[in-house]
Amino acid sequence: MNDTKDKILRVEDLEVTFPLRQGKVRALDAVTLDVFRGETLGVVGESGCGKSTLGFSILNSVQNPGKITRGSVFFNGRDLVKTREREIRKVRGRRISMIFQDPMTSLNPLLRIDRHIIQTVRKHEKNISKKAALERAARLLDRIGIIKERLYDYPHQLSGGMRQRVMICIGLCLNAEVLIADEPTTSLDVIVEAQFMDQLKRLQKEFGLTLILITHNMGIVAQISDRVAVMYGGQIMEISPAAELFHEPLHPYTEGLLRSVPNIELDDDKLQSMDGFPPDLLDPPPGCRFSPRCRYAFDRCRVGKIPLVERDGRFVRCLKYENK
Amino acid sequence: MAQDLILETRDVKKYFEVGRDLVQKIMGKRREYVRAVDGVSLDIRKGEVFGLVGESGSGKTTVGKLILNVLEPSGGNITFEDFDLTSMARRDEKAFRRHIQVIFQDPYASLNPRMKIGKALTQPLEIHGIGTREERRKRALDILEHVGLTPPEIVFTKYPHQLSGGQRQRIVIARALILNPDFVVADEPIAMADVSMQVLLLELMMDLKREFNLTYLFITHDLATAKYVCDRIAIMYLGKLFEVGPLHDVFRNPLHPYTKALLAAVPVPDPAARRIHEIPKGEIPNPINPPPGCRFHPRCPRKMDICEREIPVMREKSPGHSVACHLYK
Repeated sequence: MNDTKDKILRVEDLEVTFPLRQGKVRALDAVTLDVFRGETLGVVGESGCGKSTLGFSILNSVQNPGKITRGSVFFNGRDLVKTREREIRKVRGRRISMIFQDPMTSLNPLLRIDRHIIQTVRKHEKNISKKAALERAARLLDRIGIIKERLYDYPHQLSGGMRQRVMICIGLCLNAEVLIADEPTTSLDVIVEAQFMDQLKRLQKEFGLTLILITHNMGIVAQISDRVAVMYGGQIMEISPAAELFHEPLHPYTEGLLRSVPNIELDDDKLQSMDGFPPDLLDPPPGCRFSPRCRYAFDRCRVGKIPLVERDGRFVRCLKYENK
Repeated sequence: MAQDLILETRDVKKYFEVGRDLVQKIMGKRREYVRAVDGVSLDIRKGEVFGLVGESGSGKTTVGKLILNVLEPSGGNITFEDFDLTSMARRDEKAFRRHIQVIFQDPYASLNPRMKIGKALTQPLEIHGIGTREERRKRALDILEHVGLTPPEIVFTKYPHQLSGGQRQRIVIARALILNPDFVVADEPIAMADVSMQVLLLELMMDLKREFNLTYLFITHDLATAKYVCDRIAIMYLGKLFEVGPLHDVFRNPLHPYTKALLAAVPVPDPAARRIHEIPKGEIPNPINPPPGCRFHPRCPRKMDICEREIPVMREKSPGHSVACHLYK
């Protein structure tokens, strides 16, 4: 990988623990990854793999009772894990913005859209006038394809696709550098989803946004990502450029995942199921978390820690690629 | 009904009245209706997997509920085997329910959390007076084996919350099959499962179909999945049927501009894939006041004047492949 590329985020050895009555759950375990300025990084995995937790951790907003118990998140050189709450507020929502699956949970149903925007912008830019904030919003909404009359609507008067676009607009109003999108299109119909993804790509180029797309939908990941990180059982299993991930997956889990996803362009698609179940994070299997289900597993896979190794600029956590 | 058909709907409609508050009623506000299903005619053949595809508001779930006789049609009729749903006597309803069952999307909502799995499975048999207690238990254990939940004796004693989502959906499938129905309405059966579980559930459903000689109405918004399991497919939009045909015909040669748009919009898990057709602008309009004429005309890249005035009629363009669009006259 090109070392001269500008690293905007670096997650280093991140561990997030949830203390439950039944025991401790390590939702994230030794997660290390770099995000480069202007790129789209897809983070994929099934439920429980930790991808959403990763998104929240970057903003140091892991939900109670979860906590970051080890590691760092470096943003523009500063470790957000060690930064005080007061300082993080300047970053959260402003420099790093996040949108979620259901925009209705982020939007106050009693506030019109213009109030949402004014409130948010003025919270971060204390000296801006209402008029200036609205003008900025109207211009952005126009860029996103929403007519400015919609500013005076309430969230329930907008469709799902529009609400999601309003959420992006709020982030852009504040000149966010990074946008973390957690399952942004899961609640959208397929045509609206396609429109939304097209728009997101366009906006990203226009504003030079760095996009972290968290999803289980391999289709939209393929459409828009430069690189993809695959997560399983709280760990990163593979990080590769998109084309290479899809055409020559390194990790057996990636391979299995790709074989489970129907491809509408193939006429003779043969889907293959994976044996077994996702790991119980209260009592994960020893060694490689995927080993109980892996067709290539051998004895050493079931012991100790499996390191993330580099292979031609790609990263994989699998003993098949051990540097001999 | 023709010999090879198991279900036939003729111009079936379902309109839901939109609520008016007291002031509106006093002021004489006109009644408004959501025309959820507005004249749908379908034939489903014995033994096939018939896909009913559409986005939200298309009416596909409502069609499923009409077929299940959970909703009463506002117009038109539905014939299932020897049952005429629109004029069925109460006493025939119970018999009807043995032949047609349902699998819903949400395995958390479909199972009574306070009922053990064993009871959830034997209860349908009990209701229909089938077998003795021992026989019912045996049948439940048997069906648990069939859906791959082993050891069945242990699963029999569990509560839903003790099982995973994928396991729960298997129970839902088992429950649907325990009465040995001929027809199963599956409404987004795999949508809530994880990607790797989805394949397993699909495989299970298809294996069971072969083993028990079932017919499926497979309702989904996911074209990629529909392509994988369906024999024939129908595309719905805002209560209307736009296109029906054999799966490969519709996919290789989509006729309706909306079908083309849907196919183009499906994200392909391959970064090298390039979209051929255009994505239409705009969103699905308000179902209370759908556009006049062809409901898709405001978004259609091939719109003509007639599309704004006249509702297109379904016409067969090639064997078994029909489309409702003014482009094809």
